Amino acid sequence: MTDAITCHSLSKSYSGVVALDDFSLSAPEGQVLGLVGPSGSGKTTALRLIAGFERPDRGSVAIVGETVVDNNTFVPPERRRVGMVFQDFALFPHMSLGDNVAYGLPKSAERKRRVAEVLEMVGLSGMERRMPHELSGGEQQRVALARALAPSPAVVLLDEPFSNLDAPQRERVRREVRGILVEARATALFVTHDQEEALAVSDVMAVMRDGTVLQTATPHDLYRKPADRWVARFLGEGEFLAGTVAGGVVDTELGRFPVNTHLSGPVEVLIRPEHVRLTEDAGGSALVVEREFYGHDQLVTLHLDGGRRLLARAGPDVIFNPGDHARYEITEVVVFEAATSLQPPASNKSA
Amino acid sequence: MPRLRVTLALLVALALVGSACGDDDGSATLTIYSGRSEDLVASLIDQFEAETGIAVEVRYASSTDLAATLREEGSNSPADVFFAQDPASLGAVAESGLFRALPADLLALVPAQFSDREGRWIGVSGRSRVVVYDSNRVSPEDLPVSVDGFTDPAWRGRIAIAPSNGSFLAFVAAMILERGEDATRDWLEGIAANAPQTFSGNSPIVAAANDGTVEVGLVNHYYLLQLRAELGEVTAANHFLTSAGPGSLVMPAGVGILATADNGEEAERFVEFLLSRTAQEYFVTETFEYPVITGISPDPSLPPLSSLTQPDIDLSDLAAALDRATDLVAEAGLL
Amino acid sequence: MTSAPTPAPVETPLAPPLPGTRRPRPRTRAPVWLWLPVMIALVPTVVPFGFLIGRVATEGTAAARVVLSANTARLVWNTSLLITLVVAATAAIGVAAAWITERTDLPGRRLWRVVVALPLVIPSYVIAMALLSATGPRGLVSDWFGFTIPSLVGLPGAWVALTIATYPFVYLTTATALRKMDPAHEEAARGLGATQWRVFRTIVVPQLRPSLGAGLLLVALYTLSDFGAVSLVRFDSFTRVVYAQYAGRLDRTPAAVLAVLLVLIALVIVWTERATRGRAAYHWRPVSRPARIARLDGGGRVAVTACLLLLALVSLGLPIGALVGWLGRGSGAGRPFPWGAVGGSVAGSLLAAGLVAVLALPTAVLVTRHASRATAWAERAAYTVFALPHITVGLAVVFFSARYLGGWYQSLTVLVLVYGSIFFAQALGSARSSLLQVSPSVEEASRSLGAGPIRTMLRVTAPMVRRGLVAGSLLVFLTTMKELPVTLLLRPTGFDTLAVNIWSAADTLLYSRAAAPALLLIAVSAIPMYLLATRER
Repeated sequence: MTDAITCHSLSKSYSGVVALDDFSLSAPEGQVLGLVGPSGSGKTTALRLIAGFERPDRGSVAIVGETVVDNNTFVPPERRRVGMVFQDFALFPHMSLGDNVAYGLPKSAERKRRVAEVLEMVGLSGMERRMPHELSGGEQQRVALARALAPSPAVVLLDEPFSNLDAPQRERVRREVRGILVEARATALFVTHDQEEALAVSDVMAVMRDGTVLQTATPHDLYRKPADRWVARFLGEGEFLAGTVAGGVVDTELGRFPVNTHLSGPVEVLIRPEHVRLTEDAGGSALVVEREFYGHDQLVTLHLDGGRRLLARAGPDVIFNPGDHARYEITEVVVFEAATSLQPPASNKSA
Repeated sequence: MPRLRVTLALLVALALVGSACGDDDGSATLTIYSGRSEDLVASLIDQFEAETGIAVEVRYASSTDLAATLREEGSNSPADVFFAQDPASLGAVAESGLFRALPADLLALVPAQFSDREGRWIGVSGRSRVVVYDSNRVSPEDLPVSVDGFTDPAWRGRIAIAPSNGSFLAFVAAMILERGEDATRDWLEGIAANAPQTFSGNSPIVAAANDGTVEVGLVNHYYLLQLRAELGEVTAANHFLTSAGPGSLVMPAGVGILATADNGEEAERFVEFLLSRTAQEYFVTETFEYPVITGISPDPSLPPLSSLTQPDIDLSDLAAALDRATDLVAEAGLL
Repeated sequence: MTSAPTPAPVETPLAPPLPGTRRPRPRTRAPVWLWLPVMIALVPTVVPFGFLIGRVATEGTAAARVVLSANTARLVWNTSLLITLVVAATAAIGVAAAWITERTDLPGRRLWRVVVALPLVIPSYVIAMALLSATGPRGLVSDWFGFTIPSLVGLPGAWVALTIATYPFVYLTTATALRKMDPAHEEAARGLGATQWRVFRTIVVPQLRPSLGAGLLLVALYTLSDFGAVSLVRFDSFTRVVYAQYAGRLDRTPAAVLAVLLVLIALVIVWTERATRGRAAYHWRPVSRPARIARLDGGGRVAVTACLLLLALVSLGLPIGALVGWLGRGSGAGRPFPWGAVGGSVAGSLLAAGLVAVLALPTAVLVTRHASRATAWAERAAYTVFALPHITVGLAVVFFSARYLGGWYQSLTVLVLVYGSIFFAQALGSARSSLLQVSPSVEEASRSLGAGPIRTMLRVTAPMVRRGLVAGSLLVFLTTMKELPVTLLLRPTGFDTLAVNIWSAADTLLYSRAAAPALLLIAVSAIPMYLLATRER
């Protein structure tokens, strides 16, 4: 499977501020890649470099094998086969939906048919005559997607596509958009600061920090086996302990657990709340200090003997109230090299 | 919408290009720089066009302005003919070598004192300097016998002059030629001390004298007659100064042909026309000036030319003194 | 400046981050060709000015002599005196009128707001001409009413004419400021026992000061730059003397030197205005409730209405009445209407408006989407050119084109290019304001869909900023119609405009000839003014 997008060692600075530093990424064809990182990590810059709205200081970008940027080349955005969906949708307000979607298509007999086709794909059949301001946010989102998809681009780029939607809409629209991308068999690269969104929508995820990629993997692998402490923290809740690995087992103050790792000796251990099973027990060693109820589950903060804090996720059926005692069981742990804070692994595809 | 913008852009481009090209098209159009006002000569020029079929384009401005412009334009000038109000402006252009010599037969039509010594320009109508006064407030006995009288403090606030006007500057140049710079400077300072009202031309002074806005003004003789012809009767009147001196100066308005003229032949025909009976009679009956060719009499209300005592100077020398005249006028604070 | 003030374009400082982005997008470098339109807009004025300054600099001692002469000192004194008087008068009238229409319960306020601002429609030279024709022993007032107002020439004439022409501007800015002011401060002061007058003095005026100051500096600039009015009333201020020196002397150096001096003074005023404007920029928070209205008793209402009536009479009634009065009189009655001048005015103004529309959009894109130090300088240059006294621009271009442009000298092309150059800032300001409302992502969307930068500008950007572009062009059309000095100096042989026609007639005291064209000019100016005013609402 060829890569739809290949970024190699991209660097970009603005007035002395480094936005991208040796950024490399490969987006496989036909998949949705989520590029995620905190504000200022450079993900939007990377997107704009791929689209061609900015020039990198160093590095290269290739789209479906064809180099669009390097030391000697710069292909302007209108000649890259890249579709883009913007955070504010950027629909042309003075044109109808049909004209918006048709904008990137050459004038031909096929045009009308293709417009109808993509509108149907996004679930807005027959609305060619409507104007953008008549639509809801979610509908505008879908038109923007249809417009980007209509010319059958090699790649679709999405810049924080869901941040302009209300919370209730967001999950539904997310699902719809992913469905459309999959059905169109499009290669998509979308950028977000919301790790939950990335986990939900991506086939592959790349985590960015300070201008470079820390780890690229499937969402599942990223979550279960983060490359370092920072990635782990970024992607979800958890508690860190010190531990020692010897012979396939890690020894911590909360017990001994089997691990599959090449590391040995002192390590850092991460315990995810999902891997802490809780049972009501008046005589249990854990004291419930706080509980956040989410409807579908609850996140419980426990105080253990010895002052150690632990987060646990429990189902919705049994409510744990502050002051209750409970029994806990740790089912799984993740280990890292000790004192891993700012390692810059290139693209760390941990298995 | 895009079509509209493109069309608009094209139209604009077309207009700009078209106009630029249009101006260069001087093939059959005679370009005249006229220091004489449109009011006075436009219909005469129309007659010329009608008679000869030659198309004419006229640029109207003050004679001094045009003389300076011609000197700046140099060989780039689009002008064919310079029709000026006074010999000083003509002389200034002649001294810069911008005129070509006029045909001898034309020069012969006009008395020698009304043309350039070297035949570079020729006078076509005569005009005398006068004092125009508001007869409601001033009587002829109150007026001084020469312009020097106006430096008397009794005339403070009552005089009007047109310091940027070609005729006035020529008059000052004549004063320099006759009396020298120091005397001229004294006279100008004396006038300035009397806080004269300054106007941009002669006809506003005459109109103002008629209106009662000014009491006396130093102008050319014919403006009053024109005003009378228009209004029927006027309260202002002309006073010809009797003593010899620059105040009685008679100067011709005249023409010269530019050496770089594209339409030299048409230009000569224009000069010829101005010296024809048609034009000379026009000058007598429409603009009330003195004719320069023989066989035509001026308006009966005017004193004959022979009775006007002239200062002893050669009009061809006026141009040389013009720069100094302007400087002195400026130094006196009038310009 | 032009012959009548029109609202000055405001340079907006760098825009705050657009909604939907968390921080401002970094600007990208502009393609080279995008600089072309702004160059076309700036070159026709900047290059000749460079040559003018060069010419003056090479004159050295002669220039110094002119600058240091007694005449020049007198000139500076005259001009300063006039500016001081006009500023004081417009401040008094503008603030008082603004207070009356915004902070009292005078009946008919809505109507007064329009009436008070109306003199903007009349060019300053028409006001001057009307005043001259009405006063004096042979004036209309003398004929109709028997008594004679002394002829308004010289300083008094210039003072009255320019005050009438510019006070609406002070009025408009002050009225807006009063409307937007937060009444909380005034209420607090009154709660502490301050009288109305003390509140006004200590609370309102300080808040007014920034916008009032800016408005008055602009009035100063207009007064300095005005040519039409001061030349007709024959008052020796800078503009009149520069022109007289130019027209009356064979040696053009004094005119050039004085022109450069005039420009320097104008620039000082412009820079002062720019420096003080910054403080006025973002003062306004949304006002939650309207300010307290002063109640006028019966006697007060009568007095105030009488004052406003007097103002309207002098600033509107007298000029228009005089023009109408002269319509049938004197030698003008028989003459044919100068339709050639109408054609010239309309053609020139249409071409100028079209030119700036074409140049303003790409330049707005340049300064907004590709902002950099260089574009900031270009913008500043455009606004500075706008502020230059037009008589000096005309002079500079005449000198330059007579010497270097050959056949293009005195062509309509050069005239339109100069029009476009001096009024460019008006269109740019409008286009820029419109463009700031548009998110750049729309343009990027167009690019990502395969449209190049030019196609994007035409198909996407232009329709979205159409309102701003049209407003800007309309404004330029209006100001070009009224423009006098540049037209006077640069027009091709045989090309006449209403402005030149009116002024030339008035200069030779032929008021009857000027009356009909003047009324037509006012009528034609009123249309775009009306359109602009209704659009703003």
